Amino acid sequence: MHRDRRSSRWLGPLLLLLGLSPAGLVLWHANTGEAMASETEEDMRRRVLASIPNDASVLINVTGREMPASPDILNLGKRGTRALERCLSDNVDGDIRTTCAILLGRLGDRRALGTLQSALADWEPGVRHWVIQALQEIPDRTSVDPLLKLYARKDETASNRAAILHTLGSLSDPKAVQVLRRELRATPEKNETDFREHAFRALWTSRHMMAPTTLAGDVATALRSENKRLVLAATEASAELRSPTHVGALIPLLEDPNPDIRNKAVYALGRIGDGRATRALLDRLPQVREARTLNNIAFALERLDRPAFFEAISKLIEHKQAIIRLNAAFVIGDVQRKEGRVLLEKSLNDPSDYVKTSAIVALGKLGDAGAIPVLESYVDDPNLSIRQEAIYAINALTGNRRLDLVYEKLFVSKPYPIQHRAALVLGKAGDPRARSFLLACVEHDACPLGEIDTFLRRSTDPSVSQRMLLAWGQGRNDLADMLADMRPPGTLGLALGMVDAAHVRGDVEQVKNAIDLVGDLGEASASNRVARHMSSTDTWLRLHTAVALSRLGDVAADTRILGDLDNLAADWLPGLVRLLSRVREPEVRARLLPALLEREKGADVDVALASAAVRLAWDPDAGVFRMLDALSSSSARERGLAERYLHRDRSPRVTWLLRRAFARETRPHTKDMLRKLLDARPGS
Amino acid sequence: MRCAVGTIVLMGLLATACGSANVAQRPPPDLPVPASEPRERVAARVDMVPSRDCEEAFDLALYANRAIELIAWDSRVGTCIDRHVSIQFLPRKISRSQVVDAVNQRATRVTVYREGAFNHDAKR
Repeated sequence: MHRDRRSSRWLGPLLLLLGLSPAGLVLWHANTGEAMASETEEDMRRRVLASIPNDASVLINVTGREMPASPDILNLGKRGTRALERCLSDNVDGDIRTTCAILLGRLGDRRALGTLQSALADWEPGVRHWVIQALQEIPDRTSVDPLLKLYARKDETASNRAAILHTLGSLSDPKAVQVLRRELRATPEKNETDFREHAFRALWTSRHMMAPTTLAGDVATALRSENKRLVLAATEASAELRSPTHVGALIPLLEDPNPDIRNKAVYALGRIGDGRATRALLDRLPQVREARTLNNIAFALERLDRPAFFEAISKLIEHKQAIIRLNAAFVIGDVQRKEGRVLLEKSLNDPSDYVKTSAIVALGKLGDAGAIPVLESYVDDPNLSIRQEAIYAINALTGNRRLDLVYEKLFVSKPYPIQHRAALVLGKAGDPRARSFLLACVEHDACPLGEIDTFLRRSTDPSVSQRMLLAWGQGRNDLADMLADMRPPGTLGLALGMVDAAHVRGDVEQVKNAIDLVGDLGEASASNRVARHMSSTDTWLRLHTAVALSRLGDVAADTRILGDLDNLAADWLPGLVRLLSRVREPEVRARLLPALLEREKGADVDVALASAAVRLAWDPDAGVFRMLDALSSSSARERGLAERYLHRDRSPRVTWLLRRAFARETRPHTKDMLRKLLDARPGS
Repeated sequence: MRCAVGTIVLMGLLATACGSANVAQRPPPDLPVPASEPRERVAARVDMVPSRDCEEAFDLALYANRAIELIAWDSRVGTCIDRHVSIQFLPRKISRSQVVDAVNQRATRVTVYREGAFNHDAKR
């Protein structure tokens, strides 16, 4: 009984304890969780980030609190692919899956294709949207059917269906082209979304898959549409295609209420160069009410029928309204034909000083030295704008032989803006009288460096390079390239000091800039001062270091560069191309070139074209041919990459090589792309 | 019927033949020239008819001849007067005088520098 009583005495607390045990367990978990929670969010993210390359499942259970920042994940490059795939498949948080889909697209790792295609069935429309976008970044024909299946679902969102069309356009697949052509011709019902513009733009991406006549027919269909967005897209396309079959459809667009369509139609007609457009443009000219259209019509007419253009513009330059006379003078200057001189000289008697100034500027552009005597009479005009433009026009027409006029009448003791412009003109012509002004101007970051750096680099005065070094040390990273050429005494020491100092204060941009400069200077003994940054977890710091070390003779750094080239996120590759383009040392190029050539032929088109772009920068004469092959590729992705890299390389030599290629090209689509690239370069 | 089939077959063959002929007639795109091929240069000062694209028009005209390998200009892009140009060509396929003739056709005034006398990069 006593025992029973004793047992019953313990029974209550025991039952209570058992009853409370689930709560106890939760409490225990909470406590351990609290111990985990003592880890800051930053610590948690760092822990997750560190696990991504080795643990494919690490992102399955993360929430927004633990999810590392996107740039940090991208920094891991393709080592993050597996974990991102599992994230997209298995994380229950739609926002996290969205992030993972975006990152997979930016990485461009083809291994993720299967996962992305499966994720087209994701529950969240937002996730599906980014999956569709990612499949555009990793174009593969195996994506056609899954995308078409999703497109066919009536319950898919309109924005996702539009995105599917754009992705289909990037896949370079005949079946996708068929679907896009069908969608272009589909007439939407009253309450249906109109996808025709999207279908057209996607088709344009796939235009190399189409016969020229078929393509021209589709553009003509689009030009006649009642859908204004489609018409605008087709007008842009017709300017690139330059098919005379579009003239008939473009002419009515000159009257379109949408100014964008009107202007692009004028531009396209000028590009096509078919005489049938002349009458329509001439009729349009007197009705013009905006400068942009006037310019476009003038340029178009000048190509189509020069005498007709000058007849029409001679009327406009005598128009009742000064603003039209002013713009007419401007246009005559821009077409740069000698026939314009007589008209412009007449305009010098215009009652409006604005028109007179515009005519003087235009005379300076014509390149006809015969205008100099008449311009001379304006160098002392009471109106500052007139005399200023007259002086610049005379100087331009004499090929910088009237710099004294610029110096004496504009540079000396004039208001700062006048002096500033004069100094830039003097500097570009190599006149040392502007040196002091320009130096101060650069130091105050008030002058565009690109316009005067040649002048500063050529200066033999040691104070120029010394002051540039000082300015660089004070944070002007943009002066590093100039210093690499000038190399004033003390540059290496300051650069090495900057590497250390900027590292201590966490200014990674400045560390990288200083490391680049150390690499430029080529002093092998400096290697050990920068080598520690090879272990950085920051990919870009590591890459800048590797490129500098490679330039300083460290062969082991080559392997790191090539490793990163293969691993880097696809959309970071242009940055690496810019960095490797700095390498000037023939021996370093010779070491890296075989590996780059091998990659140029590889299956990873992003790496292949990045490698080709480096070679283009190092040796344009040889490198241009891989780019031309890529421009003619059956893959829209490869063509697009070649176009971007060729566009970014602004060197004159590449312009000359593109002209040669254009002159000899017979493949219609490649020729169109070369024309487009040339049109975007100076002197075309 | 047999005749119709025969006609279709014939038309198919003709189409193929024409297609092949077209492909065969199409000149190849720009191609690299072997390093072993000898090269020479003509350097000149030229005035061209002023226009926005005078430099490009000059290049496109000369590049039609595949024996012209590279046309290099001074840095005064956008001007058509007093320009310095250097033309690299393949002397086994075109003579120096033919290159000069081609330049004369595209420019209003030409001063040809004697061989090796001009380096436009240094001058500009």
